[in-house]
Amino acid sequence: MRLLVIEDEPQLNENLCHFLQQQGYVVDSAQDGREGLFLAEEHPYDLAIVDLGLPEIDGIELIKQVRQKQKSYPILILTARGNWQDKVSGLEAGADDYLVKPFHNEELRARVNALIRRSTGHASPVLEFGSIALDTAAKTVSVGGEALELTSFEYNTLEYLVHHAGKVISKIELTEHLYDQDFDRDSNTIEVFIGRLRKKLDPDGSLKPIATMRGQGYRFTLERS
Amino acid sequence: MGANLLKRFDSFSGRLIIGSVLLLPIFVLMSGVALDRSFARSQEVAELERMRTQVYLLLGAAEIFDGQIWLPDQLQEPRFNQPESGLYARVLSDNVVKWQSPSALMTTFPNSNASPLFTGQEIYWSTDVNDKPAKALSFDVAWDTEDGREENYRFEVYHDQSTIAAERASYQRQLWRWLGSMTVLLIVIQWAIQLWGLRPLKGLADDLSKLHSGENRTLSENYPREIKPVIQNLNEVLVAEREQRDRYRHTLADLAHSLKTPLAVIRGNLSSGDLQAPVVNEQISRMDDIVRHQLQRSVAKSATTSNRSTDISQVIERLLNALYKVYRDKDLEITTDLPEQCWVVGDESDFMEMLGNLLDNACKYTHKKVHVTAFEQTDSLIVILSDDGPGVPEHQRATILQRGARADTVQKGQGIGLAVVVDILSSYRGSLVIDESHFGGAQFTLELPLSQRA
Repeated sequence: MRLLVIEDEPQLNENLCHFLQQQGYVVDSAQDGREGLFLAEEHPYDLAIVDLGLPEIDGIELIKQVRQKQKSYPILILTARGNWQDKVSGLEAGADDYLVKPFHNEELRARVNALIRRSTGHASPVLEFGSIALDTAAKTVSVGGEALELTSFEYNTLEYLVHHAGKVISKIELTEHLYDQDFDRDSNTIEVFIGRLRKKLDPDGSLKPIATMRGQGYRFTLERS
Repeated sequence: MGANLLKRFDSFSGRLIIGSVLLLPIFVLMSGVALDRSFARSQEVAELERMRTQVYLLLGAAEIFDGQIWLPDQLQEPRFNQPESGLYARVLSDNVVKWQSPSALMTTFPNSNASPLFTGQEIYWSTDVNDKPAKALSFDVAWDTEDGREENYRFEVYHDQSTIAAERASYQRQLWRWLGSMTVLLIVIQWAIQLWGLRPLKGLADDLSKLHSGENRTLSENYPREIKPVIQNLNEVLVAEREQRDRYRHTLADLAHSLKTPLAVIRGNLSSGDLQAPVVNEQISRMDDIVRHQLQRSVAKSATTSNRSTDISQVIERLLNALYKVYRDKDLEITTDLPEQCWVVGDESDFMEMLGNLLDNACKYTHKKVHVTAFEQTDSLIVILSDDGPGVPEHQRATILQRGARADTVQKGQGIGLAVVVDILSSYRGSLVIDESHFGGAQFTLELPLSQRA
């Protein structure tokens, strides 16, 4: 999952990025509206966190312009004033939820998770595919009731595929959403992760949850139960 | 230099004076010329009439004897008898002088207009007699002599114009003297009127400087009718501004005092050596609550000075649309029964704060249903919010409406939210009642007076 953080206060920006990276997200950040708008229009993000009081381009204006460019990923606004006038105009501009500063990191995590889950069309945080269950809130995976040990990269890869179950996801799309920009896209890391995931999810090879579409990418094949 | 001069007249009275100094002489000059002209014309008309009378008198006195024209030695008009009197007459026939008045003894006449005229025709012209300007009137007659011939005579009267010119000169002198002094007088009077008329503005400037120096708190209301409304409005703004300033000062003092306690706790904790995260966290939450409360209250305090109207229906619709987005996961069933438009005097941000907090609570605590009704009832607007959540236990309903009270310590923000609602409502002289809704949840009934100015 690739996130964009637009916050002009450097310390808070750094804290946010750090915390979200700890949560396993890939995070791009901008400290003013102009840079933020450029990134927001340039990359296919899974969620953007936008402070309302930004220099150069105001947060509400930025959200309007992003929505005009037909970008539909969820946007979470941060507001220091916390009055309803600001919240409502932010939501009317196209944001999906708000968070009033100061906030607890746990609350931010919950909102981000909920928004991403909602944008991929899943109402409940726990996604079940037969014996495989993915808890997007706790970021855990279990097979047949037994918890799996997954690295955060493995989990993120699986979550992205699951969120887009049934669709073919190219390697490029996966890297864009899962890794930092300087990631070497020619490497076969993705193939290694997929290989490990298959082994862990389906040790006896009976479910075949992840299919390789030759030359196109991968597809999560199971249907929700 | 020109710019300097202009700057000197860059005032109301300067502008008005420069206007009249430029315009008044032009008017005076034009009317002077007109008066002078009409005086000269009437002099001229009177002169012609007088000379005609003299001619007629001469005609009446003239007789023909032996083919000769004869006039009495002593004429009725004494000036004809006195030499150099300025009034002269003569009679000509075929350009030969047949008779001339005794006054013309030493007079050289100009060449008479030689062309013969028709009987009864007159010529009036200007000429010189004895090198002085004069007017002349010639009148031709044809008389039958005793022997049956017809003789043409020309009667001429000359009148020296020097007295008339002197009369006119004296008239002109008088005229311009009067007009000149009137102009000066008018300008002076106008200057005085302006000083008097514009004096209140000077007073206003003094008043304002006193206000600035703190000597006065409002402007006095003794001003002319034209600027009285301006002064009154200014005073209202000044009072509102001062009240606002006082409020801000109080808020700031409140804020400073209430922030000091949690800061003291943290510092104490720090100096005792064992900084505990939960303690710091709690104090930070407390400070956050204080700041949020004060911020929202500062928004809420403009009610008494605001004259704007807000469409409550629109505010509710906008809030519900926004909240529906925020609580999308809950799959809320939000229903409304609102009038098309519903205008209430007050600031939009106040109503948004008030209704936003109430609606947010309703959406947060409800199970599925939220219903909003608004209607007018004898000078009041009633807004009812009902939900099917757990409701508010009866024993908590009174305390929940008190400032800063918090019925539910788990859900942060609710205490502040309701306190702000109560705060704003009280500044609008409204009220809030908590009941059980027909869904079984909580029901908040809000009453807002429709007109704020009491």
